[in-house]
Amino acid sequence: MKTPTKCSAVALISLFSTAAFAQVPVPPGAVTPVPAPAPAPAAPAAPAVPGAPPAEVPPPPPPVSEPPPAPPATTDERVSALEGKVEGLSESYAETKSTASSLAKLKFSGYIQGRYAAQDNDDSISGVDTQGRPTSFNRFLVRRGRLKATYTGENAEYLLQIDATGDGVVLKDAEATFVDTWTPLGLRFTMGQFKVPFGYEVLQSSSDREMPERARVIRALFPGERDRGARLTARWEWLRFMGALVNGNFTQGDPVYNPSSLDNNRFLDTYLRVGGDFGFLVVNVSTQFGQKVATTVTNTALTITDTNMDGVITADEVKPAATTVSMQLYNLWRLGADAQFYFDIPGVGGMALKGEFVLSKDTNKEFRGAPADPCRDVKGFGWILTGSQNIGDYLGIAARFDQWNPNRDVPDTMACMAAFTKAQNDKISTLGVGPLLYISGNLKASAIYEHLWRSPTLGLGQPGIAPNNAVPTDQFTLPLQAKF
Amino acid sequence: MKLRALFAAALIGGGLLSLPTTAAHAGTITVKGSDTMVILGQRWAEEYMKKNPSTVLQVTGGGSGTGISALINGTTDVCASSRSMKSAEKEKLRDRYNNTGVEIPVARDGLAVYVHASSPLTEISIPDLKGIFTGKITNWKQLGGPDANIIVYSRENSSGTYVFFKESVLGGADFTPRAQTMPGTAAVVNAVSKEKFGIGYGGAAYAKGIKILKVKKDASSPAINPDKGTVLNGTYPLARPLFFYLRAKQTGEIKSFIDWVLSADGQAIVEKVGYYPVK
Repeated sequence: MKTPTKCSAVALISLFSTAAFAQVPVPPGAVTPVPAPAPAPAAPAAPAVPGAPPAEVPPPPPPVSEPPPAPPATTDERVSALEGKVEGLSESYAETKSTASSLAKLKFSGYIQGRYAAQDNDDSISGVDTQGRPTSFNRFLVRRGRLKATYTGENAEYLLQIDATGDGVVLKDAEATFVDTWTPLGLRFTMGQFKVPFGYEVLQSSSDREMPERARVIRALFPGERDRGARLTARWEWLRFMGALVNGNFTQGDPVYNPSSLDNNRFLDTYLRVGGDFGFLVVNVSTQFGQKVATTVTNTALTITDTNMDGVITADEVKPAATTVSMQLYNLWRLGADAQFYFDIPGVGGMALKGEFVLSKDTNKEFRGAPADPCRDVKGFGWILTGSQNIGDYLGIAARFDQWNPNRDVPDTMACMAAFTKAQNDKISTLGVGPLLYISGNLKASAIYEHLWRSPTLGLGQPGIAPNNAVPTDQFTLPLQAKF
Repeated sequence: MKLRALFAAALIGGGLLSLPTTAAHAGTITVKGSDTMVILGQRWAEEYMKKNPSTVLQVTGGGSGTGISALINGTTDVCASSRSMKSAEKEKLRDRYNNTGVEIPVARDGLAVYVHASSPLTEISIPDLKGIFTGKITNWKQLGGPDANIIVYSRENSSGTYVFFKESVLGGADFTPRAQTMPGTAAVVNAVSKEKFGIGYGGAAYAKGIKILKVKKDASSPAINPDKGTVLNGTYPLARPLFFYLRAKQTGEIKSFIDWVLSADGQAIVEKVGYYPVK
């Protein structure tokens, strides 16, 4: 028993030394040593039997001949073997199919809108104004970078949409939906964050809209278009219904109009939208009612310091030393109606005419001991008219006129006007026109020119009118959209 | 002025870009969609191209849902569908093309229920079919047949036949998870012809080597065989139209093709393939 152990040990040492040798780096130009030939294996020793004559060396074994070839498989055997393989493949296929069918319920979609935008009042080279806002409006930008995932399960739907742009990634839609498969109403109950069910432009996808942005009235009254809450939708034949109960604060969709996405009050807003879809004609009426708490921060004392000692006091050198916060409660009411008419012109293409109006009323209410102040009541009115004509499958032309009057029926007293900077003539109207080019099913381009008319007494800086004090008169937008 | 110059440049550039995309599609008509209608579409294409050599017709399947998506995306001129377009699909088409499309019934079909040729069953009711395909009935014994598990064959959810069956027979309920999904009607027929205890559904034109069951609306209704008379007069419970969908009112070559499909010559091919004419 010792001999094999020793042999093994020697073999191991030999193996390690060979391996170690192999890893020694050979200097350049050195001759690689040729290993000595291995000694021939010793013949197996005959068992030593004391006093026995030396054993004869046995004759070498005859050369091993290859086994005779197996007889060819019968047809039954081959069929049986193939059947086994097919069954195996079937099982494998069934497993793969099961996995694939679950994945098929998960769908991704999205679109990117890159664009060049220019404005004609851009008379500065660069820089920001005294409030830190950019004064140059001519730029390339990623306006929207959407990615949507939808999973449709049994009576359930998951939907998540994010928007990734140069400003970061924000949540657009997050919907947990119960889907009714039992009634003919196609009921869907959703909780999460979604577009509020009001009007046509709010609900229309930005990837389908003809103009680069929603009309001013929509951006002013429904900033970001989305809110958090619960929604119920139903459809039966041509009837359509949507209702929602939401926080009422909208979301982070528009950082200018609504920088805070948190709900700052306990009041909920209610939306109802009812209408009919007749294919060539769609008509809907929408309403919203609720309450909001508006917060006003007023500087009661200022600190003025000439920090750069240049003898000139600039706006950034004036700091608030003390502020008071006042809150007002408003009753909100919105009423809107919209209609879309579609008509096919043979040999040319489809034509669409879309109209919409929104009436708004914010009524100041008694709150925390402060009486209701009619001077703070605001009535607004806006309307939109859009026309588009397809020319074949790849071209189209679109135009939209919209008007927004944020202060309709302003109280006719100087006191009110002085207190809240209300102006009677603060309407702003926009006409946009341009061609649409559908390069493929996934790629769309357009070139939209917009001209604005604004009242000379426009209340500058008023929320909902424009993102900046400098409301431009003309704008040009060149968007390119890739969608999947 | 600078903005207007930019706008003018964009108009000219867009016009130039649109020329190649429009020209690339001249002379060719693509038909995509229903697998049920692939054979019918191919026969139509062969005959039509013989008579109109300057027109090229490309017919492909993939399922009605796939065809409708292709119509919305602009990758097919004609969508062949064995089901009606859903309202959500019409809305997508309308958002892109400013109209809801044009629906043209081009043939009629009786959706047949297939069982193995040796099956003792001759008829089945819609509630029993619903029980089988939703998984509530799992043994032939429950329907007076042999004591054997029912092997259920269905179609992929992109199939119009699948959607029609789900709506007309299952009332919108989900198929049993035990249903084996087949890629086409021919595959369903093939599977049922080999599986003694199998059951499937599909277009009557494909029914070779299997038995077609008569169908009853309910247990007390008469059992109806899917034939020309019962399909055309609507007494067969699973009679359905087969459609062509277009994005807009047909003009030019597409109009010529559709007119021919609806002509006596085109409708004669419908009967040869195994479906029923609409005219």
